[in-house]
Formats: sequence, structure tokens, C-alpha cells
Amino acid sequence: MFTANFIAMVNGLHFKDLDLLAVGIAAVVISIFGLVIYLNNRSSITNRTFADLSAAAIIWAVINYASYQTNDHMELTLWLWRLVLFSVVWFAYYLFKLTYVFPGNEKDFPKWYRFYLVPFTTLASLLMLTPFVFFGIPDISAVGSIPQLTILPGIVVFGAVVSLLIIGSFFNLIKKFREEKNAEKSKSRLMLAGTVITLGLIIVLNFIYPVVLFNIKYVTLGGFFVLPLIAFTAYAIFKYRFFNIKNIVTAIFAFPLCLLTLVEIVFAPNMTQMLIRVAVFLASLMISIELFQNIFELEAANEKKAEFMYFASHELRSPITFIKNCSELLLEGGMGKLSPEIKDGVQKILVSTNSAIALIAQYLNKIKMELNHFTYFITTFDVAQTVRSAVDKVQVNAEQKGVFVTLQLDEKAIVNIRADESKTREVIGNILDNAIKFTKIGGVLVTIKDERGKVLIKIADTGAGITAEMMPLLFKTFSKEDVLKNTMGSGLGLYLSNIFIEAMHGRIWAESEGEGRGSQFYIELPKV
Amino acid sequence: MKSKVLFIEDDRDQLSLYKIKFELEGFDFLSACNGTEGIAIAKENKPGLIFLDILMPDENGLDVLKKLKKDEDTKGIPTVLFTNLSDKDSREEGMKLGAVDYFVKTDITLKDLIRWSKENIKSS
Repeated sequence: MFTANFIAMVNGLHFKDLDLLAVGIAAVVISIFGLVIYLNNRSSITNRTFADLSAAAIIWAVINYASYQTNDHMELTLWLWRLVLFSVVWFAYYLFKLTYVFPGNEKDFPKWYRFYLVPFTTLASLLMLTPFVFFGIPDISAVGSIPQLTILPGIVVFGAVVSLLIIGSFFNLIKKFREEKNAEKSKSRLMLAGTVITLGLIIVLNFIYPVVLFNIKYVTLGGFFVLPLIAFTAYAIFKYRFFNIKNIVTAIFAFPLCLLTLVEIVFAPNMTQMLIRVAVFLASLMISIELFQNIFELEAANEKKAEFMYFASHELRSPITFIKNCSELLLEGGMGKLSPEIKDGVQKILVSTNSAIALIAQYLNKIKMELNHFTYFITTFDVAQTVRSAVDKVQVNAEQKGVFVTLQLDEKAIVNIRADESKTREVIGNILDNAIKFTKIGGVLVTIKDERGKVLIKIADTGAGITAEMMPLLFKTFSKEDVLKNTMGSGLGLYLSNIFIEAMHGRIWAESEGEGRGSQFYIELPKV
Repeated sequence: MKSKVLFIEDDRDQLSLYKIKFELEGFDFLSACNGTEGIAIAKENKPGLIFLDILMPDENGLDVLKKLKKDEDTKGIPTVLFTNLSDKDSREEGMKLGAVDYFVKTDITLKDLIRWSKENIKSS
């Protein structure tokens, strides 16, 4: 019955209704994006500002559409036009703010921002509501056309403020895009693309068309043109945060479904049908509310889990630090000369301790990833020194195993890259650990090649090699069965290594001629 | 004259190990078990380098760093955050407050710690 009603309604639509449909779709989609982003991380300034921008866009879209439909009510039209300018000022302001804070979670605003920009924007937006911009409408014009408004010089303030904020937004985005040389850069690129498309559409179809060509066909669709900006930015914010998006999107789409069931009540042919539909509506509403509550509870539980992990990591590492330092000091002779038997025992303690440290780091990273707390701390550093330290660190493992680990690199060589140093060290350490673990005779050779714009680290071993069947699974997480079958450890190390290197705009891969014929791991990272 | 290094760290066992290693390498080793004591020692002895833990019972290392950077006598001393907290927020806040570097204790060997200290210590 509902489908029949819907088809009848669609058949009755006129072309001008498509404007309404487009603005309606834009408003619904923007509000869903805004809500999803806001709920995903309410403490993030980027997410909060995105929600503000979405709200400003919806208000502008709706008022902009309405302002062309009420030309027969002069006073109402005048106020709607004033409100259009008011909402555009705030839209431009939130766009500027978003490009300023994006993609960080926190931001300290400087004095010029707090004491000049915010009050100035507020004053400018309030000016839009006064007769200094639109004084009045002398004549009634046809619905759907541009009304003949009496425009006063206040409009110059509107033009100046909005232009400055938009130019500032582009400046922020281009600056970020140029400065970032890592995963964050792709986020800025996405937002820049969305902003260019949206502003391009608005300038051409909402400004050049009506003002130069006197064609207002697309003016009412202004809100629809904001969609690329909102969609691209939402995607950029979510690019590395996919945790419970599915749940939130499901919950948000559950509400329009409730709305549909509510509409169906109106079309009920008799009392029995109406009662059934009321029951269906109430049930779906309760399920939607329950779904939302569960998501909020899940978020709260995750926050607690993250807090627990934060302190647990510290508590776990503290005693291990002592064992590691004590073993290192003993082996260096800092506490007196050791007999060969004791030295061997202490070496074994250090090897196990280093394995425990690596495992804690891997599990913490996995948990951080699941909790959406996975972040990169990007700096410029000498990767040659990082590799030297990693090779030094595993010498004790190699000595215990009776294999060699050699680094072929000039002692004074400096190779600066821009990446997360701690994660780069973790990846190199992990591959070195594996190489030693799976090598019984021979050893491991590490080389660094400084190529055009890239650094290539090669870790080659004479160990067990990688079979053709194993190769495609190398950088994937293992199931319990895989782990038991392959005795390869948790399988987390290479899986995380791949995620880290890709996020830092690098590449990691392996080559091997087959079982028993050694393997070569390559890590390629962009240079500064 | 020996280069002075100050460790502000609440774990006395760990301090004892760092003391052995740094003294073996020719440093003058100073230590404090909390922030208040650490600031007092830093003001009096003007070490060339400070290693500062974050999670300490009385005062958080980041608050201690703020005080060190506000004090005329200590603000020029290179201070390294030396902790087992590996979250980005602590790291970013520490660097913003003026730390010269941030080391996770389990990630750095004693040998690297000494090498880094020799390269970065401020000569008195």
C-alpha cells in the first residue's frame, strides 16, 4: 500500500519539485554526515567544527531555497534574504575554522583569532540582519525569481568578509597540503578537492549564472553544491578511523525508517491497519533508540578500555625496563666481569626481554587501532641512525643464535626522512627479529640505498625463506590455526608493519626464491 | 670538568642502573625522586642535561617541565622526557612545552642513551 502511495506521489511531482528534492536530499545527507562525524569523536575540535559547518550548510540550504518561494510575501522574503547572508557568513567562518583546525583533535587559538576574528565575524553576521544591507523590496516579483531588493553599501561588508574567510580557508588548506609530507597530506588533499568543487559550483552556478547571464535556474540548488565539500571532508576525517562507523550509520538510518513507518500510519485504510502500523512504528522507534544507547555505552566502554591500556602499558613496561637495562649493563661489564656461563644466561634474559617488549608494543598497537587511538607522530629524523640502533639492539639475539647481523653503511652517513620514528624503528626491529629467528646458518645483511627521493632499506637473510603459498599471506593477520601450523608467532608484526609503512606513504614487500633459500624484505620510505 | 646529567625518576632501582652506566661513561650523575627535589637540584647544580619521567607520584613530569621552562635558572637546560608512556598526546604536549626529545624507556638501549647524551649535553 505504501509503495503504491509513494509511486502516486512521485508521478504527481513537477519539475520544480526536483529543486525541493535536491535540497531535501542535501539537507538529510549533510545532517547524517555531520551527526556521524560528531558522534564518532565528540572531543575532537575537527569533528565538532565539521558538525558546526554541516549545521550552517543545512540552514543556508533551506533558507536559500525558501527565499525564492516566498516572493509574494515581501516582509518574509526580505528577512529570508537577510538570513541567507547571515548563514553564509557563518558557513564561511566555519569553513575557515575547519581548515584551520583540520585534521587535529585539539587547537590553541591565537589572540588574533579569539579577539579579532570571532567578534568581527559575529558583528558582520549581525549587520546582515539590518537594513544596511537589504533595505526593502519595492515590488512583488514572481515566485522562483530574484526579488528586486533595495541593496545598500552594507553588502560590501558581506562580500569582503566572505571573500576573506574563503581565501583564508584556501590559504590554510594549501599551506597544510604543502607542509604535510605524510598520511595527513592525503587528508588535506581530499578536503582541498571537496572545497574546490563546491566553491567552483557555487561561484559558477550561484554567482556567474544569475549575475552575468541572468539565469537563476540553479540558484535554489545552492545547498546541494555543498555536498562535495561535506562528503570529501567527512571521508578525510574518517580515512584512518573506521571503528564503529557502521554502527553509527545503521543507527542514523534507522530513524528515517521510523519516519517512513510513521507516514504509513497516515495512509492506513482502516483502524486495524492503523493500530498495526502504530505498533510497528513504536517497535522500530524503540529499537532505534536502543541502538543509539548501545553505541553510546560502547563508546564509554572503549574510553575506559583506552584509559586502562594507557596505564597498563606503563605498568607493564616499567619492570621490563629494569630487566632490560640490568641485562645490558651486566653484558657490558658494568657490574663486573661475567663468566661465560653467566654471560650466556644474561644474554638469554635480554633476548626474551626484547621479545616481550616487542610483543607488548604490537599488542598495544593492535588495541590502539581497534580503539581508534592509532596516531602517528611525524618528525624529520636520520633513518640511518635508526637502522644502526636497531641492528645494535639485535646483536645479542644473533650472538645467541650463532648467526651474524651486518649493516653495510658508512658510519657517518645521514639519511633524513620524515616519518614516525618510533614506528619506523618498530618495523625495522620486527623484520630483523624475524630474520634472526628463521635463520639457522649464515646471517642477516642490512643495506640502505639513498635513491631519488626515496630511501630503500633491504634486510636479506640466509634463513628459512618464504613459500609461494605463504607469500600472499605475509602481511595479513593470522588466525589461531595459521599460527599453530606455521609457528610464525602472533603474525601481528608484519601486519602492523605494513599498516605503518603504508600510512607513512612508503612501501614494504618481500621476495624469496622459496623454502630454505632465504628472504629479502624491502622498506621504501620517501625522503625529506 | 665532568658533564652533569640529572635524572628525575621515582623508581630508585632504575636510577641505580643509570647511575652506574653514566658514571662509567664519565658523567657526573645527579638524581631526584620527585619534581620538587628535581627542580631544586637543577637550579643549584645547573646540569647539562635533564632526563625527566612523566608518571611520578607527587607531580606529573609534564608539570615539572612547565616549571623548569618558566624558571630563569633552568629554562636553558635541555630536558628529555624519559618515560614508558608511548601515547601521542603526552609526546606532543611534552614537545610543545619545550622538551628536546621524548624517549620511551623500553625503546632505547643504554648504549644509545649514552651516545645521544654525549651529542646533546649542554656544556657548562
